[in-house]
Amino acid sequence: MISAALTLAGLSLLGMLLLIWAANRYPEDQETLPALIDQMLPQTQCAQCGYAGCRPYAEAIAQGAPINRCPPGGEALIKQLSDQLNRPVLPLASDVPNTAPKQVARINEPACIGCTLCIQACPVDAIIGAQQMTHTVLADACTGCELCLPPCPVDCIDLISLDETVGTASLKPAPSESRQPCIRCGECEPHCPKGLAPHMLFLHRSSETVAEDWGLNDCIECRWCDRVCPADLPLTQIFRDMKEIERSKVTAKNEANALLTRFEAREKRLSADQSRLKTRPGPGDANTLLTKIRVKQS
Amino acid sequence: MFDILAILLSAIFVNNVVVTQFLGLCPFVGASQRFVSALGLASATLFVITLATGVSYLLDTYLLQPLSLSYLRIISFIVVIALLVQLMALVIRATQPVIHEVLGIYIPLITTNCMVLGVVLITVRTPSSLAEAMITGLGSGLGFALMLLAFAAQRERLSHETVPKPFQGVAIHMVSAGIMALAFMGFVGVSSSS
Repeated sequence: MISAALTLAGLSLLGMLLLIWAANRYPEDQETLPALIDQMLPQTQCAQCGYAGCRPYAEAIAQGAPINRCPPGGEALIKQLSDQLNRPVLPLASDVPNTAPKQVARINEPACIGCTLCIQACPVDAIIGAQQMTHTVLADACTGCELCLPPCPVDCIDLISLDETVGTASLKPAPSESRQPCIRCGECEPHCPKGLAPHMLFLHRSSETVAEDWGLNDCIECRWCDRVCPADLPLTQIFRDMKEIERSKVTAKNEANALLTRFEAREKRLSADQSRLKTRPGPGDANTLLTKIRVKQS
Repeated sequence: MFDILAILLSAIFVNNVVVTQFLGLCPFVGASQRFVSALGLASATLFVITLATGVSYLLDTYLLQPLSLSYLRIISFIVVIALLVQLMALVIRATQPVIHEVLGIYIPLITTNCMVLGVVLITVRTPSSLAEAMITGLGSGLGFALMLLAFAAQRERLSHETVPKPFQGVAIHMVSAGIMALAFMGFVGVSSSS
């Protein structure tokens, strides 16, 4: 009886000590998951999700906030997040503005009074101009976040929707199977001049990693597979669509990186301004300076 | 050398934990939606089960049996398994945050996974050496990993196919798991002792 109690107590004590050691050796990493989520977000810094920017929203998601509050990311982002985090796919939240299709701000320049209020509001420094000078929007850098609209005293900023051909093509659902489906007979494989496996590309057409796994980008669209396919599938057309989707993903990633760079540069500039302001002399400093001078004179 | 191979193959194929002994069915069905997360869970379970059989064997041979405390087996093995799982969870949380997020609920569930405790109890009951015990654990873990990964790959493929309406969802998964189990019945009778 005693030995049983001692054995169990000793075992538990040993386990406890081991766990305490491990918890110290491997502290919980607060950093990595938010950073990974942040990389998926579009970096528009538009705050439409209700958080101050993309990074705060990423941190909130890591803590369990809903994943459907990012209008610029849209359904593609929700799907990506749900895949990565194993959470259910939700429709875009109803209380955030829906900004699809993509839009950019444009300043009606004759009406602009040069107040610089919109410049301060822009999270990615996409508006240029100076006091008493007409401002203008850099269309390439603008994210269409609408943050410049409320501060404008003369309502001279309009949002113009961009006619986005690539974006709409990439949102097209996977080609439907109206014909005889692929039975993976492999007839296409020996005919591919690039040594690809068109039937595997077709099978994994909605996979995230199809480009790396099956060499999608090596396809030269020669239409050999179309010709030999006994099921008469429009393989080349499907691969062309898939490549377009891949390309738009890469473009979106590059755009997000560029926006993040602009946002970080702005943050850096603001904090530098702030620190310069702190060192500027205030009214209290003036008094001490005056007394010092008086002491010197007397 | 032949013995080791025989034990390993017998644990992976002939006495496969999932389809022959019907242990560990909850993660088999619950964590096989995506191949990547199945891979994470399979390797976590493999690690835990191999270490747990080794540690439990030592505990049983050098502490419980000399003190004739065999009736403490279940409770002390559960302590050992829970400890190993907690260690795993700590390490994964610190080094692989995405896998931790995906497997979040399943890692603590390895603690109560009937497969781990079942394999450990079966292993220590048959007299063997530490190496044999650990190889049995490794083989069982590999067998579980094989089934979990095969099932996950199958489910990923099924998600691309058009399934007839009455079979959609759980039904087709049950059917395919059943067919996989039938295939493993082909190994019944292959003796591990020869």
